[in-house]
Amino acid sequence: MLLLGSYPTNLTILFYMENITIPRILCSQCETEINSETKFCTNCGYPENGDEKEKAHFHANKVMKKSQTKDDQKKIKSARKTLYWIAGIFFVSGLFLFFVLKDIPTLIFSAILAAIFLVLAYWSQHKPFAALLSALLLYIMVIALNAIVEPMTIFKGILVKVIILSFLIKGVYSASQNDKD
Amino acid sequence: MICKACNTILENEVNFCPNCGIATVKAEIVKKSEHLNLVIAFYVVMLAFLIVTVFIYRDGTLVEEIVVESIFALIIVGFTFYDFKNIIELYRFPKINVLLFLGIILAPFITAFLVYYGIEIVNVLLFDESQNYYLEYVGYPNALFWAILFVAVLPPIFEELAFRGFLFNQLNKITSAKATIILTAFIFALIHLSVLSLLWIFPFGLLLGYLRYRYKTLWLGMIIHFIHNLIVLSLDYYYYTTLLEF
Repeated sequence: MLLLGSYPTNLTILFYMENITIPRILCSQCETEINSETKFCTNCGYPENGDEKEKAHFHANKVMKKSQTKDDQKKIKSARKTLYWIAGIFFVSGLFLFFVLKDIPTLIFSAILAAIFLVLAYWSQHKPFAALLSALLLYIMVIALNAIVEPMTIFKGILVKVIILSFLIKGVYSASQNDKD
Repeated sequence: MICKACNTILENEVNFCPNCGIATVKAEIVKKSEHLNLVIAFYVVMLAFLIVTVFIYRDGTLVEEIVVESIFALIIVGFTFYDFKNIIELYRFPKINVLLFLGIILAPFITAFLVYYGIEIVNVLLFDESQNYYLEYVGYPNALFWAILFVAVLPPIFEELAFRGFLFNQLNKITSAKATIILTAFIFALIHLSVLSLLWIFPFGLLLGYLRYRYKTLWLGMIIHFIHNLIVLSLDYYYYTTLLEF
């Protein structure tokens, strides 16, 4: 009898069960089960047990985040369009140099470069980060290689270069924020 | 995991701290752009260094060559200090079986001969010239020693550290393993400063990147890279000496 006393009695078991069957609280925003004692939902950050001000703050943040991702998508899209432009510029300038100087290697290089940028533009629909980073680094490389052969080329069309670079850089950083496996 | 704002102990895989509502994911996003900054900074520094050396180094002396190679190595080692702990782990010896070991030894024979004769054909077709690595070192005393050191020994050590070590780790924190392998191979090809070399260095980089990903070590890449460069240099040495006899 003495031993039995140390085991939970029927009453305490009932008490435990009551504790378990307390209706579970779900987050009103994402329907994740949440702890009734804590303020914030661990899945979406909604202050379920907070005051009105905090709830309003959450909704404002949510709207801002949505517009941020929308903004990122826009920047990625502009970067993709920039890639088509780069491909076009290289192809046309290659053709131009071929007809003026009969320069066959330059034509081949320009055509290869244009093709690579087209492939990267297409790839940026599936893997925006990898494609745009490759394109940015390749574009910097082309400017650098031209500068080695002829240092003054760096200043040729510098405005266009800066615009292209800024579109690509914005696109890469936007894509890096949203990259998933 | 501990919340950085209020030190509450968090369960795993939680997006927000239940106590203060601070996002744990947000921190990751900030970190991502830090890694991207490092990647771009590394690329630009490398590129600037290479361009400067091209200008100074038209007909270099041995001392200049040693200085340039030392600076190259120092830049790479400097960047690895940003991620020292994770890179050191890549120098552990992998557990590999005999078959893989044979593959590691044989693969560079295939790549080296393919590249050597493939590139030779393209070079002669397009530019009517051919490149000989050994020729660049002939003017130095102990030419063969310096050629082997600068062509076959040092590049595998420091390029593997730079591309499969530092860059691979940084990019892998931003994107998936697959994209990381492709990107490191692409940057590896770009840094060699030739549009033409994209054709063969890119697939070569894919192979090295995959081995780094699969076996989490730099040793396999270093061995393949070393044997590959050594074979190319030997072929150049062979053609140089046989041409001299005529």
